[in-house]
Formats: sequence, C-alpha cells, structure tokens
Amino acid sequence: MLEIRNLVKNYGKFQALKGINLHIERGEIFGFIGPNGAGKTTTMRIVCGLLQATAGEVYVDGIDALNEPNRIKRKVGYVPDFFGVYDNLKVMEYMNFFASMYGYRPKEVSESIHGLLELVNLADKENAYVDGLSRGMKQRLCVARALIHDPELLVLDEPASGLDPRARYELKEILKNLGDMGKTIIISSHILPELSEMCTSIGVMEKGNLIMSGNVEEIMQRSKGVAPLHIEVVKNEETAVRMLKECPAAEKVSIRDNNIVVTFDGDDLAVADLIRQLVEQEVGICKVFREKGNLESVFLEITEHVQEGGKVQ
Amino acid sequence: MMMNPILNKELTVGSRSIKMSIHLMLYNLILGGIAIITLLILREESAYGGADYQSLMALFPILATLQCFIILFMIPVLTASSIAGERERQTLDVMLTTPISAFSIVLGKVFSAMAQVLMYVLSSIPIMSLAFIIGGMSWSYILGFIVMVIYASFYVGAVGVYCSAKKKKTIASVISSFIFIAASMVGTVVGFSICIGIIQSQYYATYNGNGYTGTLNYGLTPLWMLFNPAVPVANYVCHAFFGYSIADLGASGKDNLPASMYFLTQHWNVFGVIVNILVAFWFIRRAAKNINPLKKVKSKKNQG
Repeated sequence: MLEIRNLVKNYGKFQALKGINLHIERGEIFGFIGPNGAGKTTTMRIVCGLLQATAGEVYVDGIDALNEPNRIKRKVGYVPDFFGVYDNLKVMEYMNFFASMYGYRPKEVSESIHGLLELVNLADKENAYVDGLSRGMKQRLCVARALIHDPELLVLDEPASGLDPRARYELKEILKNLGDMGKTIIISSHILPELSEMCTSIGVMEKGNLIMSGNVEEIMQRSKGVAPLHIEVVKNEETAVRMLKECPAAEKVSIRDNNIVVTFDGDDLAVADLIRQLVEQEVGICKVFREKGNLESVFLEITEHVQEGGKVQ
Repeated sequence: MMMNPILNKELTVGSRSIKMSIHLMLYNLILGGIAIITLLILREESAYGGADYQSLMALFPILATLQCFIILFMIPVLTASSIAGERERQTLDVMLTTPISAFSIVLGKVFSAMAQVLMYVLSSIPIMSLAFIIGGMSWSYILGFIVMVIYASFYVGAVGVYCSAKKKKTIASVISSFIFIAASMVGTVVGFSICIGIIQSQYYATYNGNGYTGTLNYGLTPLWMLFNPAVPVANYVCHAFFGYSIADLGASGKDNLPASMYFLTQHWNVFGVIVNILVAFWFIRRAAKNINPLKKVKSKKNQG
C-alpha cells in the first residue's frame, strides 16, 4: 500500500530525513515511534502531500505521491495532532463542508456521514456545535472527517495527544475497527503501550533514520533480551550476586523484594546456562522469570544503541 | 454547479455571528441618521420658502464615500485572518489534503469577504433609495454603484488574502494590506503627478518670449492612473453626481494626448476595471502559490 524509497528531506542544512525506506502492506496498522524531531511528522506530511521531499520516492497504492499529489488525495485521509475548530459550525455542517471539498453534494453523502458519525460514536451529536465538543469527541470527529472520501490509507499524527484515558481508549477502539475494515493506517504516538496493542507493525525513528521496522510480535521478541530477569534465591544469595556481577552478559544487578533483578542480555538458552552455573555453585534457586517485555523498553534500548553509535539489526 | 465550499462555509458561519448583526445595525443607524438629518434640513428649508428636494441626491456621494471606506478598512481586517487563521487552527493543512485547489481556497476567501461587504451595501439600499425616490436620481446609478463596490471589494479582498497568505501573523497581514492598497492608490497618483510635472516643466522651458516652441504631449502618463483601483469608482461617483468624468477631462485635453490615450480616457472605467481585476487575479494566484506546499515540485515538473 505504501512504499517509501530513500526519502530525504532537508530544511536548509538540517537533514530531517536521511534516506528512509519503508514498506507497508495493505490492511496493516503501522505505528511510528520516535522522540520529538525524529522525522515522524515530516514523513507523514510528505506522504499526505503537505510537504515537498528533497529526494526519494513515495508510492501510495502504486501512485507516485511526489509527482502526482492530486491523485493520492482521494486515497489518503489525514488527521493532524491538533484539531482546529470553526466557530458556529455544527457537526453535520462540518462533515458536509469537507464532503464538498471532495466534490460530494450533501444529499449524496448524507447516509455515509451518518454511518461515519455512528462509527465514531457521535451519531447523537449531529446538530451540536463543533466548538462545544470535548477534545476526545473533536478528535473522533476528525477521524470521521478523514474517512469521508473512503480513503485506503489513513494517516494519524499523534491523534491521542492531550486526550484523557477514556478518550484514548475510545479512539483506540475506533482505529481497531477501522483496521478490521481493511483500512491501512499509519499512526504516530508517544504512548507506546497503546501502539503495541493496536498496531500490526511498527517503525522506530531516530534523528531522521528509520532505525528499525517490522512486525510487532517480532519486535516484542527482541524485548526478551532487554527485560530484566528475576531470580528468587533461597540459598547462597551472596554467591549468586557475585557470580552475576562477574557475568559479562549481566549489566545491572540489584535486589528487589528478595529477588535478584538482573539486566541480562541473552536468549532463553543463555538464561538456562546461567542458572545451571548458579546451581553448580550451590545457589538455591526456587523461581526464575523475565519481566514482561514492552515496546517502551525496546524503544529505549534501540535509541540508546543509536545514541552510543551502535548499529541496529 | 456547486458553490465554492469555502464560501459556503464562511457564509454559514458568518450568518450566525452576532457581531455581524450588530455591525450591520450600527452601520445602518449611522446612514439612517445622516438621511434623517438631511430630511430635517429640508423641512426647515420648506418652512422658509421652497425646499430643494434635489439636495437629497447629496446622500448618494456621502453614502458612496462611506461604502468605499468600509471596503478599504473592513476587507483587509476581514481577510487578514482568512489564511493566517486557517494556519493557526491547522485547518489549512487538512484543506490542502483534499482535492480542492489552493486557488479555489483563496478565491473562496476573497468571495466570502466580498459577500460580507455586499451585505452592508445591500442593507443600505433602502436608505440610498431616498436619493432617487425624493432626490430624483436614476436607479441605474445605484445599481452601477453596486457593481463598482463588487469590483473594489474584489481588488481589496485579493490584496488582503495575498497578505494573509504571505504573513504568518494577522496583525502583520492587516498592516501589509493597508501598505499595498495605499501604495496602489497614493503611489500611482504620485507617479502620475511627477510625470505630469516633468512634461509640463519641459514644455514651459520652451517659452522664448513670444510663445511656446514645443508641444505639450502627455504621452502614456495616464497609464499610471489605470493601475489605481480607486479611480474607476471615483470616476463613476463623479459622473453620477457631478456629471463630470475622466472622459470630459480627456476631451478637454485631446490635443495633448496620443490617440490611444484619448481613447482610454473615453472608456476609462472599462479599461480600469479590467486592468485592476487582472491585478487582483495576479494577487490571488500568488496567494494560492504561497499556500501550496508542493509549489516547487510543480515548477520543477514544468521545467522538466
């Protein structure tokens, strides 16, 4: 659905995008992760035809987005991070206004607008003034507005920013429904746990580079090597701590709630080997488990590697 | 044919604005006050002999001047936030992701400012009608004046939207609109006056004691005033009320003008309106180019 090749964006001497490559399949929900200034919004704005690329290629459903921006406008729906309000405009009028921007007459799209408002749980707000809606409702309305022309690709830039937990949950459910409907969605967010629950694939951006992208499950698998290891010791705790401190794969060793907590960079086989060595030294172990992996720890680990000049595979 | 979506939306929003209703009411109260004072003066006059009902025609230039001031001062304020406001609300980005062209967005903004001004003008028709009901002025003059108001508001609106697209802040946009409009109105008069002064001084320099040996020819000097958007309106009002226009001025100076310039003076308003509408379209195109995020891509493509 979306193919980005060697995308570069320069602002004067500053290089915001340093030749990123990305492939997103139809029906995927792709999450963009990265700190502020990483290049997520720049990438999204280029895809939507709101920013000119310095170099590279962008294809939306096979259409060259950089050279034929007008053709992709009917294929892409855009939700910015900030919802602008028009005073004295009702929800239905707001939807009709944007429908007319796509050349639809209000009568032609009346039913589909009702359907969209139902989809975003705003069916009872048709005659309410837009500026009187809550922030969460406005953001949902913005999603409905972006769907008015039935786009194949929906681009959402930080849609959950500033929303309360309830509004975030509702938005997440709507996006999940859209995913089930077969829409391809690109979403950027700082709220990483939500992305991991919602997205089928993610990309991590840092300083204008896409340092990692792929299936969420594959990436979460990585977190197994990042999440701390908890070892509950009932005998020879001091020996265990000494051995762990000497182990090259173990980074931080601490004792928390009678457990030895160690950041251990190794897979399940390495963990098994470590336990065998501890047992051989007569350390009494009654329980070993890994903390549940999460996107946040993966993200922190990856960005830490990049900041240290390391390469991410 | 579908109405411009921007204009449609602006009209919906504008019609609900309480501010608009209050402004309209105040405006008509002022005009009504002027009309009542004129009528009271007439009644006083009739008590001391015959009343000059034709003096009610004086309402026409007074109202015309007021309308022109509204156009000059209100449209830049109305249009200053038209694009800058959309930028601030981040709604411009959303609009630009739709198939509607940047040109249509800008044109919609100009039309909505014109529509608001037209509301003022149309609401004042009952008061202006006193000039022809009692004063004996022809209907056609008032209709013609409305056409002139539409033309002038299109020009000022185009300049205002251009400045709004160019400047990020509303206040900077208002100031630059006033500067642009002042430059087009005062600047052309200054240019025209300097050229006339030079030509006349050269002519007077040919005086040899018995007479002038040179000929006084103003050449293409009138073209300066062709780019002054206020001249067609002033010309129209002067012709309607005083019965004197640029055509008369041209006829009196026929010997000092080339044939082409004489022809121009005889059809001044046609040429003046056309030229300034073209200038307005140029401003609209520039504004559209300014808000189009992919303008450079297009130009590269064209080059290629």
